Amino acid sequence: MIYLETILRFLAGIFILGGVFFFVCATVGVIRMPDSYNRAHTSGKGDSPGLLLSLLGVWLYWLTINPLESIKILVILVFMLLANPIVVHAILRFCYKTRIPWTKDTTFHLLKDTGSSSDKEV
Amino acid sequence: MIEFLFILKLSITILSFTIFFCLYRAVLGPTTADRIIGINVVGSKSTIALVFLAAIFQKTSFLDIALLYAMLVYVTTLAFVKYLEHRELGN
Repeated sequence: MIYLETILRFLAGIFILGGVFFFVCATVGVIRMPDSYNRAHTSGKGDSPGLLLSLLGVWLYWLTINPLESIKILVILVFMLLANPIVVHAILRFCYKTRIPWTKDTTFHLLKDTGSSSDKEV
Repeated sequence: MIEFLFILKLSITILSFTIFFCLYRAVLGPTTADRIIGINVVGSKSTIALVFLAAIFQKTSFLDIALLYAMLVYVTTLAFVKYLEHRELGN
């Protein structure tokens, strides 16, 4: 039984460190990206696996101490995983509707000058 | 064998530094959307830090506070975005 506890805590430590790694990556993106759209994209992509991994790690740790109360962590996990992409989607829709400018490097016709002949026919 | 509490304390320290750097974006962001993004990221990270604190101090009441705080952060961000987009909170 004590081996099971050791294995669970080892897995919990690995999960928590992975989640913190994703949070650090999201922070670097929020600081360094040149555009509001890129910043919102990076925060949404980095936060979801970060909170998933770190809350799973803390849940595995609470299983060895108080299994009944650890259901609360699963409730927090499900709520945040549902709410975080919705909020980032709302922020991006706000950015687009209030016409916040994007960077000069943003292009919407990625195949425009690759020499395809379909442009002349239309 | 590294203690598990040491991993939790190290994670809380790193999360505090990332919260500080996101506050930079929330204070000095050029547009309104940048500030909203910074506040949203700070809120989700401090929720995770509260759950870590519950595991350190062995108090289950911190988990209730973390759940309430998560709901408060996301609802606040949604209300901000909807108000700034439509200039009203109806419908």
